[in-house]
Parts: sequence; C-alpha cells; structure tokens
Amino acid sequence: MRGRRPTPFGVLASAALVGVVLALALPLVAILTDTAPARLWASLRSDASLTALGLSFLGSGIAVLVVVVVGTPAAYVLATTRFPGRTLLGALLELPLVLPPAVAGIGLLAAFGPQGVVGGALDDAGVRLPLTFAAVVVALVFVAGPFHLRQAQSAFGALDPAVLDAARLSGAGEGAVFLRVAVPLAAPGLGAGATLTFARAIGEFGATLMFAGSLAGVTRTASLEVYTRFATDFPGALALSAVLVVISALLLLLARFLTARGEVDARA
Amino acid sequence: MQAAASLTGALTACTKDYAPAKVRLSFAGSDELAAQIRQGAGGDLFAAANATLPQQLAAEGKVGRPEAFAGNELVLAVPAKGAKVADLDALASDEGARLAVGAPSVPVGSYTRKALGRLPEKQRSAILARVRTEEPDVKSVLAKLQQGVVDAAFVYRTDVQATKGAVRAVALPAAIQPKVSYEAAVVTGSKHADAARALLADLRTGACGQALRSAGFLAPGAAG
Repeated sequence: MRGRRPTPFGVLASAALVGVVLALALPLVAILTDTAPARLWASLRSDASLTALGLSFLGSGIAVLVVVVVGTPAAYVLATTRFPGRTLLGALLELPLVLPPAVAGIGLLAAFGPQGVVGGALDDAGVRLPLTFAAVVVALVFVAGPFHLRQAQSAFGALDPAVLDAARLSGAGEGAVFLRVAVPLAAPGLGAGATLTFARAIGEFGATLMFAGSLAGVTRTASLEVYTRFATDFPGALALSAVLVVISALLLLLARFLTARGEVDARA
Repeated sequence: MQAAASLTGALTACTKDYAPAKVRLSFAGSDELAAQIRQGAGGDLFAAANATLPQQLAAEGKVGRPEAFAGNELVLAVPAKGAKVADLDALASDEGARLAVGAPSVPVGSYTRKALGRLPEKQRSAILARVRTEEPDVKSVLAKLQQGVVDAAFVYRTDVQATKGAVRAVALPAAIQPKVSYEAAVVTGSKHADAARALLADLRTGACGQALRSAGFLAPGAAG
C-alpha cells in the first residue's frame, strides 16, 4: 500500500490534472452555462437549426455507413496480413486525422474539383460533385473515416490468431472467418470506431466549407450553421453549439464504453 | 488591425513598411470581425467593407466614430477564358449556371442582395435560384470561382483586379449598383488608440490610401 503522505510528484501530477480539466472543460462548460434553457429550446425549434442538424445527422450517418462497409474489410486485411509497405500504408490512411482542414479541402478539390484528377472526368460525364450534398458526404468520409479504420485495425489485431485458425480448420472459408468469427469478436471495437467516426463527422467544418460550400438546406451542416450565425445571432450560435457539445459528449461516452467492453472481451 | 477580407492585398503591402508602428493584421469577413469585437476580442482598429457594421458597433460603444476611407464597386466576376455566362441576363436565363455569393451577414453578400433587389422580380428570383453557396467572406466567394466550382460570383472590382487576369469583371448596370463604402473606427479601450488613429488617417490620405487607390479602390465618398 502506498504511504498516506502525498509525494511531491503526486501533488504535481494532481495539479497537472486539475490544469488539464480546467483548460479543456472551461470553454465547454461556458457554452452550456451561457445558454438559457428557454433560448436553447427556441433555437432548437428554429427551422434553420433543425435543418442544419438534420443535414449533419443524415450526412454523418451515410458517411459512417460507407466507412463501415468499405473500411471494415480493409482494416481486417491491414491487421491480419503482412506485406511490404504495410506500415507506410497504415500511416497514409491515418493522415487525414492530423491534416489541417484547409489542406483536406484543397486535396478534395484537387481530386474531385472540375479541374481535378477525377473531377475532370466526372465533369465530362456531366457530374459535378463540389457544392452538392454528396460532396458533404465525401468530405466527411475523407476526414472522419480514419477513426474507424484505426479502431477496427486494433480490434482485429487484438484477436487471437488461434481462434481464426480454428475456424479455418473446421472448414470455414475466408469470408466466413471474417463475417462469422472476426467481426462478432471485434464488434465492440468496431462499434467504438464507427461511433468516433460519427462524432468527428458531426463536428466537421473546414473541408466541408471548402469542398461543399454552405447553402441552407443543401450543404449547410450544424457546424457551418454555427459559423454562419456567429456573426449575426451569437445567442443562437451558442445554443446550437450547446446541442453539439451534448451530442459529441454522448457519442464519446458511448465510444469509451464500447472500447472498454472490447478490452474486457479480449482479456477473457 | 482587424480588416475586411477584401482589403487583404493592399493593406498587407502598405503596412509592411509603415514606419510609425508595427501593424499586425487580421483579415476575415467584416461581420465575423464585428462579432469578435462585440465579444471583447477586439484589436485596435476595425476596417470594415461597409458603413453599417462600424456604425452599429459605434452605437453600442464598442468603437469610436467611424470614418470612410475607401469605396469599391460590386461586379459580376466570370472566368477570363471559357466563361459560361457573359452577363446578368445570361445568368438569369441559363438554368445550369452556378453562382457563388457572400452570406447575407457579410457585406459583399448584403450588397449583392441589395443590387439584385433592384432588378425586376422575375430576373432577381431566377438569379437567386442559381446560388449554389453562400460564403463567409469575399475571398472564399472568389476562391469558388477560381477553382472552377461555380460559373460566376458577385465580388468587388478590386478582388477581380487582384487575380491578375484570371478572372474578368462584368460591370453591373448603374441603376442597380450599390454604394460600397469602407469605414474604419478605433476600437474602444484600445491600448494603442493614438497609433490606431494615425493609421486610420494614413488609410485615408497616406501611403495606405495610395496603396488602396492603386489596388483599384475608389476614393472615400466616391459614388459607385
């Protein structure tokens, strides 16, 4: 058992924790305390807020669906096979996590803009992606997808290879091993990844503005609506911010809970 | 100094060698800067792309008396090569045309709506139906045009001039042209109020005033 007297390091570390909590929580708490409940309700009932929140949820939902369907098998391959350049590829796929939003926006325009690599061909075919709702989804997939890829890789990586081999020995094909064994076992980690992707997508701003623009009812998501209102309706922006803080907090709690479950399962 | 996005080029150039003081510049949409000043995140001098915002802030006691220091002209900007629309009529009649404007809260957006409001109802609603994005400041509006994402955009003549030929300005009919007047004011409680006042005078008549004029800005009070 440790001594009752606090060590100098213990005191310093606790002070550091208090500092961290104050620095991170203060702006968030301020958003919530500065918003009168009546004001919050009124703002939430306004059409512009509801439309923007609806667009955020719809766009993020579609993005998560795409990321889960395509990203989960991709993460499985990355986690369970060895090939040259695997580490490099893994790092490349995580790059959008740390890129400045403006760089992400430029990248999307360079690829899918009318003069872009793919966008030029699309344009010739009569499809113009930028400034559409589809562009919002593409931006969200690009920026938020790596959260799921990363979490899914570590969930698959934590599986006992012997369990997968046992399934193969009993005659299961690779597809069945993935769908029937690996995915159910990694489910909490995959759920956490999808939840983090959703949370990041709800908060996306910069790449969306640059690539999809900002038009009410089409591309103006909740975070863009906050930015639009910031100048003219600060209380309204504050109220919508409060909603986003609460939604994000709930999503992060869910992701934490799922990650913890995954760790318990892995140990069992 | 917090300045409207449309002033970026001219002010960056003239304040670099501004002898009396070291000027730090922050550019954004005038409405966003005004909101920052309201929230107490003000600098020393606020230079807006309209008269309304500085006058509102002055009425709230957040800035001193605003003074006009430049004028500008709202234009329809189109690509210099291969433009899809040639003028307002083409914009109104081409259903596939894509248009970028400023958000209503930012000066360029409010001037745009003011100009369109003077058009016949049918033409106005046709043009508004072409809007694909409402951008937070004039530089973002122009960026959407330069990336080829839209076919036309409402911006200031000086923004078009700054593209060095990539973008062409189509003048609006004089009857609908709004009066674009830039006003600046010293932020209340500034620790450098004297320096800010000197810089404001320089914007009107000094080296910065000349830089603004050579960037295509009109003299303060000039119509157009």
